[in-house]
Amino acid sequence: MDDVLHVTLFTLGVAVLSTLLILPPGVALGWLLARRKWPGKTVVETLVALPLVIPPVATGLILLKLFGRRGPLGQFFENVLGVEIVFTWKAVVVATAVMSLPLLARAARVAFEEVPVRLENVARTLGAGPWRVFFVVSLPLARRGLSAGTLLAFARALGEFGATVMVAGMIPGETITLSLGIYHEVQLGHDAAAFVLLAISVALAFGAITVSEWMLRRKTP
Amino acid sequence: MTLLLQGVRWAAGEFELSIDAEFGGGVTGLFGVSGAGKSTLIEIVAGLRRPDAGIVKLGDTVLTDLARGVSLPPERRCVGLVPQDGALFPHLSVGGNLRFAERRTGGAGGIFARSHVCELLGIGELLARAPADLSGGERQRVALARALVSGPRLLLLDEPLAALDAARKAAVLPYLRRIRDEFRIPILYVSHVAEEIAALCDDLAVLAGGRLLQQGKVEEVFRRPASPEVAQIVGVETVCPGQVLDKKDGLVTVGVGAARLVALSDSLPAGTLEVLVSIRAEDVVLVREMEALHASARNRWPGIVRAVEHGPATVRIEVDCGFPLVALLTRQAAEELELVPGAPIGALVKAPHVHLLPR
Repeated sequence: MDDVLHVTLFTLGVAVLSTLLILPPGVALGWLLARRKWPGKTVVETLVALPLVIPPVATGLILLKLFGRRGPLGQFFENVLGVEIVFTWKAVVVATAVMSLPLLARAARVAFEEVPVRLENVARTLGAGPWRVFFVVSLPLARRGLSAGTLLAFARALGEFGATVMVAGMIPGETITLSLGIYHEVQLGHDAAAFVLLAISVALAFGAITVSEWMLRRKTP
Repeated sequence: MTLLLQGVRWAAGEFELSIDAEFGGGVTGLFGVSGAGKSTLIEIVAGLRRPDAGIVKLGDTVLTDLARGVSLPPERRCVGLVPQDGALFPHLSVGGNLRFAERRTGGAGGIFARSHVCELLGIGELLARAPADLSGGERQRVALARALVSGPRLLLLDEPLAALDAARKAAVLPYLRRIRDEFRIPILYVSHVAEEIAALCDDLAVLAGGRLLQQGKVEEVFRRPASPEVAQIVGVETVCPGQVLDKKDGLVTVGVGAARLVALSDSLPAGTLEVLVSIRAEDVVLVREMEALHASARNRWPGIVRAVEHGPATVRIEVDCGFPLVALLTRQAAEELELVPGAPIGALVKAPHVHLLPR
């Protein structure tokens, strides 16, 4: 029972952390894609969409090579920061973050595109600089799309499997999340334990959707 | 304070805007059909659109001078903009919308102080409301107030009445006049409705195909269009100020210069004394011998032909009948009447064709 509680809390913690991590870059990226023209925009657009279309396991392999001992990012983290990523809980966060960032960035882009440019323009003529326009006009007006995108990213982080299993492995007590746990228990023939984890997954999903519905309804009188 | 546009160019596809102009104080109407470049010009002045070349100066402040690499961002121009739908921030209350704009002035006093502006525009009661709960006319008044509390040195009104029905328009117009009279900042008023321009503006600039075709006093431009193109856009009209002298039996008598005009009183708000009279040139009938005539028209003025101008199919005749009146006749009609400058002539206009606008 302790294990189940640990796995549940770990999964929730990883999902929250990874969602918080991708929130600033995801929102910024969505805004840049919606409102600005810049060189290399198409490349970035493609890169961001990539984890949505290639198999999660493939993304996991790319991450493994990037963050591995001999990978460029892995060396940076190990030599400069003294942190090891792969096959630790940090790898789980990296995998879920990378897998859910595209969902958030795409939702943010659509949300910002739906904010009338007219309003942002008028805000400028009223004496507000670009930052103030962003925080006081664009961001609040895009909040519905942004919350939906955040929930989507969070749900993705809760259930991520393919990429996580590649970079983090299945280390009991260290990298096992709910989805990894379900697979793991079935492999060991512990169907009953797998069903418990399944029930928790479903409950969490229900909870997340209920909370988001409540948030959306609360904001529209 | 003057707004100066020097060699301002902006091109996209087929369309090219090319403007050299000076707009003085008071209200200048920017008139033109859609696609003439009115909104593009407004955006360039506001700093929302960067021209390809040119200089924009407001008083002594250079807003844009591309040759010298100057292009002030919109938030540093002190140019207020009110678009067609008001563009109120839907997530802020009316008060929140005003506070957003006050940041530039720090809510400073003077005539741009919030309390003064709210009183002037009659929106003091609306501060707690959400923009979605306002009527069209209220929304525009709040948008005007918001632009004013930002302490603008120039006001750009981009068809602010276009989204309103006739009754709401008539209700907002007096507020626009108040703004004109109270703040004494130059106002550019974009519209494609001649009546609004006539009722509000001192000067008129006619725009077509990205070019400024004519600029001058409103009455002048309506009476003497510089080209057939301008005439076609604005319609040839006599526009002149008059005073209400008498009102009875559904008719109003208006004094214009030495002449007396009769018009219908139904469209005129009670108590109006100063009016602007407009008569379309094609509604004027010219006759040689008025004494012998039994006509239904309420307005019959003896006059003298001052000028005759031949167009492709029509002739524009200016008659002095105590005030300058413009008539548009077909060539044949003009030839039959043997119109030459100096010839005596009579002018007839039916009362419903004399349009009155409160001043």
